[in-house]
Amino acid sequence: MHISEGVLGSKELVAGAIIGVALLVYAYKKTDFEQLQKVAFFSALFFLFSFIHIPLGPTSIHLSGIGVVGLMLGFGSPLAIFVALVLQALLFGYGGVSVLGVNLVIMALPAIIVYTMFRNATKHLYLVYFSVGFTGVFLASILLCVALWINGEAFRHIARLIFVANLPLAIIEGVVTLFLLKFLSKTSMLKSE
Amino acid sequence: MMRVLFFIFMLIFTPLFAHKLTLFYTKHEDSLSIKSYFASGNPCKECEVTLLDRDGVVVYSTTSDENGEALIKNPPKNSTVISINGYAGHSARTELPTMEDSTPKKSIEESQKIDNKAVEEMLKTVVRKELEPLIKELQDREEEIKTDKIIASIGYILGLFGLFALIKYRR
Repeated sequence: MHISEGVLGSKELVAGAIIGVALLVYAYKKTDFEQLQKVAFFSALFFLFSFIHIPLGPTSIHLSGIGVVGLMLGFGSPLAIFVALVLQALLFGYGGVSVLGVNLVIMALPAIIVYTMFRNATKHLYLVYFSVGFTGVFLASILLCVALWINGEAFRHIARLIFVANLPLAIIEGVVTLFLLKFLSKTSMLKSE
Repeated sequence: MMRVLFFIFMLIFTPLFAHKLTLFYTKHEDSLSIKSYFASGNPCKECEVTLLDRDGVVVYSTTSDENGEALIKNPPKNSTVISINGYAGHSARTELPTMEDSTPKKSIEESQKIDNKAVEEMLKTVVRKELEPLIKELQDREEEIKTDKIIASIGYILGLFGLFALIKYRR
Protein backbone atom coordinates (compact mmCIF):
# COMPACT_ATOMS: atom_id res chain seq x y z
CA MET A 1 0.00 0.00 0.00
CA HIS A 2 3.03 2.27 0.28
CA ILE A 3 4.32 4.18 -2.74
CA SER A 4 8.09 4.04 -2.81
CA GLU A 5 10.53 6.90 -3.07
CA GLY A 6 11.33 8.08 -6.59
CA VAL A 7 8.15 6.79 -8.23
CA LEU A 8 6.02 9.93 -8.25
CA GLY A 9 6.75 13.26 -9.93
CA SER A 10 7.27 16.51 -8.03
CA LYS A 11 3.72 17.79 -8.75
CA GLU A 12 2.12 14.72 -7.16
CA LEU A 13 4.51 14.87 -4.22
CA VAL A 14 3.79 18.54 -3.51
CA ALA A 15 0.03 18.05 -3.87
CA GLY A 16 0.17 15.04 -1.55
CA ALA A 17 2.26 16.95 0.99
CA ILE A 18 -0.16 19.91 1.04
CA ILE A 19 -3.24 17.71 1.50
CA GLY A 20 -1.33 15.62 4.03
CA VAL A 21 -0.37 18.64 6.12
CA ALA A 22 -3.95 19.90 6.02
CA LEU A 23 -5.22 16.50 7.20
CA LEU A 24 -2.61 16.43 9.96
CA VAL A 25 -3.36 19.92 11.27
CA TYR A 26 -7.09 19.19 11.28
CA ALA A 27 -6.52 15.85 13.01
CA TYR A 28 -4.31 17.45 15.67
CA LYS A 29 -6.95 20.08 16.40
CA LYS A 30 -9.76 17.53 16.53
CA THR A 31 -7.85 15.23 18.89
CA ASP A 32 -8.33 16.16 22.51
CA PHE A 33 -6.13 15.24 25.45
CA GLU A 34 -8.28 12.28 26.55
CA GLN A 35 -8.22 10.74 23.08
CA LEU A 36 -4.44 10.80 22.68
CA GLN A 37 -3.82 7.49 24.44
CA LYS A 38 -6.26 5.82 22.04
CA VAL A 39 -4.53 7.48 19.08
CA ALA A 40 -1.16 6.20 20.36
CA PHE A 41 -2.53 2.67 20.76
CA PHE A 42 -3.99 2.57 17.26
CA SER A 43 -0.89 4.16 15.79
CA ALA A 44 1.12 1.28 17.26
CA LEU A 45 -1.48 -1.20 15.97
CA PHE A 46 -1.36 0.33 12.48
CA PHE A 47 2.43 0.14 12.58
CA LEU A 48 2.38 -3.53 13.63
CA PHE A 49 -0.25 -4.51 11.07
CA SER A 50 2.29 -3.89 8.28
CA PHE A 51 4.45 -6.67 9.67
CA ILE A 52 1.72 -9.29 9.64
CA HIS A 53 2.44 -10.98 6.35
CA ILE A 54 0.00 -13.45 4.86
CA PRO A 55 1.21 -15.82 2.12
CA LEU A 56 -0.82 -15.45 -1.08
CA GLY A 57 0.24 -17.60 -3.99
CA PRO A 58 3.86 -17.00 -4.91
CA THR A 59 4.01 -13.76 -2.92
CA SER A 60 2.80 -12.44 0.42
CA ILE A 61 0.65 -9.48 1.34
CA HIS A 62 0.51 -7.50 4.54
CA LEU A 63 -2.43 -6.10 6.44
CA SER A 64 -2.97 -2.35 6.69
CA GLY A 65 -5.41 -1.68 9.54
CA ILE A 66 -6.84 1.39 7.78
CA GLY A 67 -10.47 0.52 8.51
CA VAL A 68 -9.97 -0.22 12.22
CA VAL A 69 -7.92 2.91 12.78
CA GLY A 70 -10.49 4.98 10.88
CA LEU A 71 -13.50 3.64 12.78
CA MET A 72 -11.82 3.97 16.17
CA LEU A 73 -10.19 7.37 15.72
CA GLY A 74 -12.32 9.15 13.15
CA PHE A 75 -10.84 12.52 12.22
CA GLY A 76 -7.88 11.84 14.51
CA SER A 77 -6.74 8.90 12.39
CA PRO A 78 -4.31 10.91 10.16
CA LEU A 79 -2.25 11.62 13.28
CA ALA A 80 -1.93 7.93 14.15
CA ILE A 81 -1.24 6.91 10.55
CA PHE A 82 1.34 9.68 10.05
CA VAL A 83 3.46 8.70 13.05
CA ALA A 84 3.39 5.05 12.00
CA LEU A 85 4.29 5.95 8.40
CA VAL A 86 7.22 8.10 9.52
CA LEU A 87 8.68 5.24 11.55
CA GLN A 88 8.04 2.72 8.78
CA ALA A 89 9.82 5.00 6.31
CA LEU A 90 12.77 5.86 8.54
CA LEU A 91 13.41 2.48 10.13
CA PHE A 92 12.21 -0.05 7.59
CA GLY A 93 12.25 1.76 4.24
CA TYR A 94 8.53 1.28 3.65
CA GLY A 95 7.49 4.16 1.41
CA GLY A 96 9.85 7.08 1.97
CA VAL A 97 10.18 10.52 3.49
CA SER A 98 9.42 12.46 0.30
CA VAL A 99 6.25 10.41 -0.37
CA LEU A 100 4.99 10.67 3.21
CA GLY A 101 2.30 13.17 2.22
CA VAL A 102 0.96 11.06 -0.64
CA ASN A 103 1.05 7.86 1.44
CA LEU A 104 -0.71 9.68 4.27
CA VAL A 105 -3.48 10.84 1.94
CA ILE A 106 -3.81 7.34 0.44
CA MET A 107 -4.34 5.79 3.88
CA ALA A 108 -5.84 8.55 6.01
CA LEU A 109 -8.61 9.67 3.65
CA PRO A 110 -10.12 6.16 3.41
CA ALA A 111 -9.87 5.92 7.22
CA ILE A 112 -11.94 9.10 7.58
CA ILE A 113 -14.43 7.95 4.94
CA VAL A 114 -14.82 4.59 6.74
CA TYR A 115 -15.52 6.51 9.95
CA THR A 116 -18.21 8.67 8.35
CA MET A 117 -19.78 5.65 6.66
CA PHE A 118 -19.94 3.24 9.58
CA ARG A 119 -19.78 5.27 12.82
CA ASN A 120 -23.54 5.10 13.40
CA ALA A 121 -24.07 1.53 12.25
CA THR A 122 -26.02 -0.52 14.77
CA LYS A 123 -27.50 -3.35 12.68
CA HIS A 124 -25.85 -6.32 10.96
CA LEU A 125 -22.71 -5.67 12.94
CA TYR A 126 -20.70 -8.58 11.53
CA LEU A 127 -21.28 -7.26 8.03
CA VAL A 128 -20.36 -3.76 9.19
CA TYR A 129 -17.14 -5.02 10.83
CA PHE A 130 -16.16 -6.83 7.64
CA SER A 131 -17.05 -3.81 5.51
CA VAL A 132 -14.91 -1.53 7.71
CA GLY A 133 -11.78 -3.54 6.88
CA PHE A 134 -12.74 -4.18 3.27
CA THR A 135 -13.71 -0.57 2.49
CA GLY A 136 -10.54 0.84 4.06
CA VAL A 137 -8.25 -1.22 1.83
CA PHE A 138 -10.53 -0.90 -1.21
CA LEU A 139 -10.60 2.91 -1.06
CA ALA A 140 -6.88 3.09 -0.33
CA SER A 141 -6.24 0.90 -3.39
CA ILE A 142 -8.32 3.25 -5.52
CA LEU A 143 -6.38 6.28 -4.26
CA LEU A 144 -3.08 4.47 -4.79
CA CYS A 145 -4.07 3.68 -8.37
CA VAL A 146 -5.24 7.27 -8.95
CA ALA A 147 -1.86 8.57 -7.74
CA LEU A 148 -0.02 6.23 -10.10
CA TRP A 149 -2.46 6.94 -12.94
CA ILE A 150 -1.94 10.68 -12.66
CA ASN A 151 1.81 10.14 -12.55
CA GLY A 152 1.97 9.14 -16.20
CA GLU A 153 1.21 6.66 -18.94
CA ALA A 154 4.06 4.36 -17.87
CA PHE A 155 2.43 3.66 -14.51
CA ARG A 156 -1.11 2.99 -15.72
CA HIS A 157 -0.62 -0.70 -16.41
CA ILE A 158 0.99 -1.25 -13.00
CA ALA A 159 -1.84 0.75 -11.38
CA ARG A 160 -4.38 -1.75 -12.79
CA LEU A 161 -2.29 -4.68 -11.60
CA ILE A 162 -1.94 -3.22 -8.11
CA PHE A 163 -5.67 -2.67 -7.87
CA VAL A 164 -6.42 -6.30 -8.80
CA ALA A 165 -3.70 -7.58 -6.43
CA ASN A 166 -5.17 -5.57 -3.56
CA LEU A 167 -8.65 -7.07 -3.89
CA PRO A 168 -7.78 -10.34 -2.06
CA LEU A 169 -6.06 -8.21 0.58
CA ALA A 170 -9.27 -6.23 1.04
CA ILE A 171 -11.19 -9.46 1.69
CA ILE A 172 -8.57 -10.79 4.12
CA GLU A 173 -8.43 -7.42 5.86
CA GLY A 174 -12.22 -7.51 6.13
CA VAL A 175 -12.12 -10.91 7.85
CA VAL A 176 -9.31 -9.88 10.24
CA THR A 177 -11.12 -6.61 11.02
CA LEU A 178 -14.32 -8.56 11.72
CA PHE A 179 -12.53 -10.59 14.41
CA LEU A 180 -10.65 -7.57 15.77
CA LEU A 181 -13.75 -5.36 16.06
CA LYS A 182 -15.77 -8.21 17.53
CA PHE A 183 -13.10 -8.46 20.21
CA LEU A 184 -12.97 -4.68 20.69
CA SER A 185 -16.78 -4.52 20.90
CA LYS A 186 -16.50 -6.32 24.24
CA THR A 187 -14.18 -3.62 25.57
CA SER A 188 -14.91 -0.03 26.45
CA MET A 189 -13.00 1.15 23.36
CA LEU A 190 -15.70 0.38 20.81
CA LYS A 191 -18.63 0.81 23.19
CA SER A 192 -17.65 4.41 23.71
CA GLU A 193 -17.92 5.09 19.98
CA MET B 1 -13.13 -17.67 22.70
CA MET B 2 -12.81 -14.88 20.13
CA ARG B 3 -10.14 -13.27 22.28
CA VAL B 4 -8.14 -16.51 22.33
CA LEU B 5 -8.52 -16.93 18.55
CA PHE B 6 -7.37 -13.37 17.98
CA PHE B 7 -4.26 -13.77 20.07
CA ILE B 8 -3.47 -17.12 18.44
CA PHE B 9 -3.76 -15.40 15.05
CA MET B 10 -1.41 -12.63 16.14
CA LEU B 11 1.08 -15.15 17.52
CA ILE B 12 1.10 -17.15 14.29
CA PHE B 13 1.72 -14.24 12.00
CA THR B 14 3.89 -11.97 14.11
CA PRO B 15 7.49 -12.45 12.96
CA LEU B 16 9.21 -12.68 16.31
CA PHE B 17 11.55 -15.64 16.74
CA ALA B 18 13.11 -15.13 20.17
CA HIS B 19 14.50 -18.65 20.65
CA LYS B 20 15.44 -19.60 17.14
CA LEU B 21 18.30 -22.06 17.12
CA THR B 22 21.05 -21.67 14.52
CA LEU B 23 23.52 -24.36 13.51
CA PHE B 24 26.81 -24.07 11.62
CA TYR B 25 29.35 -26.69 10.68
CA THR B 26 32.84 -26.78 9.24
CA LYS B 27 33.96 -29.89 7.47
CA HIS B 28 37.64 -30.85 7.90
CA GLU B 29 39.50 -33.73 6.34
CA ASP B 30 38.71 -36.26 9.06
CA SER B 31 36.46 -34.34 11.42
CA LEU B 32 33.41 -32.16 11.63
CA SER B 33 33.16 -29.13 13.94
CA ILE B 34 29.70 -27.91 14.83
CA LYS B 35 28.62 -24.67 16.50
CA SER B 36 25.13 -23.70 17.56
CA TYR B 37 23.52 -20.75 19.29
CA PHE B 38 20.13 -19.21 19.98
CA ALA B 39 18.87 -15.99 18.38
CA SER B 40 19.79 -14.22 21.62
CA GLY B 41 23.45 -15.12 20.98
CA ASN B 42 23.63 -17.65 23.84
CA PRO B 43 25.32 -20.93 22.92
CA CYS B 44 23.26 -24.12 22.90
CA LYS B 45 25.04 -25.76 25.87
CA GLU B 46 25.01 -29.54 26.30
CA CYS B 47 22.53 -29.98 23.51
CA GLU B 48 22.14 -33.30 21.74
CA VAL B 49 23.97 -33.31 18.40
CA THR B 50 23.13 -36.16 16.03
CA LEU B 51 24.21 -37.24 12.57
CA LEU B 52 21.55 -38.92 10.46
CA ASP B 53 21.82 -40.99 7.30
CA ARG B 54 19.62 -40.70 4.18
CA ASP B 55 16.82 -42.66 5.87
CA GLY B 56 16.82 -40.43 8.94
CA VAL B 57 18.48 -43.08 11.12
CA VAL B 58 20.84 -41.76 13.80
CA VAL B 59 24.38 -42.87 12.93
CA TYR B 60 26.25 -40.79 15.51
CA SER B 61 25.27 -38.91 18.63
CA THR B 62 27.09 -36.57 21.00
CA THR B 63 26.47 -33.42 23.08
CA SER B 64 27.72 -29.88 22.62
CA ASP B 65 30.10 -28.28 25.15
CA GLU B 66 29.73 -25.07 27.20
CA ASN B 67 30.33 -22.96 24.07
CA GLY B 68 27.68 -24.77 22.06
CA GLU B 69 30.39 -26.53 20.05
CA ALA B 70 30.96 -30.16 19.19
CA LEU B 71 33.88 -31.80 17.40
CA ILE B 72 33.16 -35.12 15.73
CA LYS B 73 36.27 -37.05 14.71
CA ASN B 74 35.91 -39.47 11.81
CA PRO B 75 32.19 -38.94 11.30
CA PRO B 76 30.36 -41.88 9.66
CA LYS B 77 30.63 -41.69 5.86
CA ASN B 78 26.90 -42.17 5.38
CA SER B 79 25.97 -39.04 7.43
CA THR B 80 23.79 -36.67 5.41
CA VAL B 81 22.10 -34.49 8.03
CA ILE B 82 23.31 -32.74 11.20
CA SER B 83 20.63 -32.18 13.80
CA ILE B 84 20.81 -30.37 17.13
CA ASN B 85 18.12 -30.44 19.78
CA GLY B 86 17.97 -27.52 22.18
CA TYR B 87 15.73 -26.90 25.10
CA ALA B 88 11.95 -26.78 25.06
CA GLY B 89 11.63 -28.39 21.65
CA HIS B 90 13.92 -25.95 19.81
CA SER B 91 15.95 -27.71 17.18
CA ALA B 92 17.92 -27.03 14.02
CA ARG B 93 19.14 -29.24 11.24
CA THR B 94 21.20 -28.83 8.13
CA GLU B 95 22.14 -30.94 5.15
CA LEU B 96 25.63 -32.36 5.02
CA PRO B 97 27.32 -33.16 1.70
CA THR B 98 28.03 -36.90 1.60
CA MET B 99 31.48 -37.73 2.88
CA GLU B 100 32.26 -39.93 -0.14
CA ASP B 101 31.67 -37.04 -2.54
CA SER B 102 34.40 -34.92 -1.04
CA THR B 103 37.32 -37.00 -2.36
CA PRO B 104 38.39 -36.16 -5.89
CA LYS B 105 38.00 -39.20 -8.11
CA LYS B 106 39.01 -37.91 -11.49
CA SER B 107 42.57 -38.03 -12.67
CA ILE B 108 44.43 -34.91 -13.68
CA GLU B 109 44.14 -35.84 -17.35
CA GLU B 110 40.39 -36.18 -17.04
CA SER B 111 40.05 -32.93 -15.19
CA GLN B 112 41.97 -31.10 -17.89
CA LYS B 113 39.25 -32.07 -20.33
CA ILE B 114 36.62 -30.18 -18.35
CA ASP B 115 35.58 -27.11 -20.24
CA ASN B 116 35.43 -23.63 -18.80
CA LYS B 117 31.69 -23.70 -18.35
CA ALA B 118 31.86 -26.79 -16.19
CA VAL B 119 34.63 -25.23 -14.08
CA GLU B 120 32.56 -22.10 -13.68
CA GLU B 121 29.54 -24.14 -12.56
CA MET B 122 31.70 -26.09 -10.13
CA LEU B 123 33.16 -22.90 -8.68
CA LYS B 124 29.70 -21.42 -8.30
CA THR B 125 28.52 -24.52 -6.42
CA VAL B 126 31.53 -24.47 -4.11
CA VAL B 127 31.25 -20.74 -3.41
CA ARG B 128 27.50 -21.07 -2.81
CA LYS B 129 28.11 -23.89 -0.34
CA GLU B 130 30.78 -21.93 1.48
CA LEU B 131 28.68 -18.78 1.62
CA GLU B 132 25.49 -20.53 2.74
CA PRO B 133 26.26 -20.41 6.48
CA LEU B 134 27.29 -16.76 6.21
CA ILE B 135 24.09 -15.84 4.36
CA LYS B 136 22.05 -17.70 6.95
CA GLU B 137 23.84 -15.86 9.73
CA LEU B 138 23.21 -12.52 8.04
CA GLN B 139 19.52 -13.36 7.61
CA ASP B 140 19.28 -14.31 11.28
CA ARG B 141 20.97 -11.09 12.33
CA GLU B 142 18.61 -9.14 10.09
CA GLU B 143 15.60 -10.79 11.74
CA GLU B 144 16.99 -9.90 15.16
CA ILE B 145 17.55 -6.28 14.15
CA LYS B 146 14.03 -6.13 12.66
CA THR B 147 12.51 -7.39 15.92
CA ASP B 148 14.54 -4.85 17.91
CA LYS B 149 13.43 -2.06 15.58
CA ILE B 150 9.76 -3.04 15.86
CA ILE B 151 9.93 -2.97 19.65
CA ALA B 152 11.84 0.34 19.59
CA SER B 153 9.26 1.81 17.21
CA ILE B 154 6.42 1.01 19.62
CA GLY B 155 8.42 2.89 22.24
CA TYR B 156 8.87 5.85 19.87
CA ILE B 157 5.13 5.95 19.14
CA LEU B 158 4.19 5.90 22.82
CA GLY B 159 6.87 8.48 23.64
CA LEU B 160 5.82 10.78 20.84
CA PHE B 161 2.16 10.70 21.80
CA GLY B 162 3.20 11.19 25.41
CA LEU B 163 4.87 14.38 24.23
CA PHE B 164 1.72 15.42 22.35
CA ALA B 165 -0.31 14.74 25.48
CA LEU B 166 2.05 16.93 27.53
CA ILE B 167 1.72 19.79 25.02
CA LYS B 168 -2.07 19.45 24.94
CA TYR B 169 -2.28 19.24 28.73
CA ARG B 170 -0.22 22.43 29.23
CA ARG B 171 -2.49 24.30 26.82
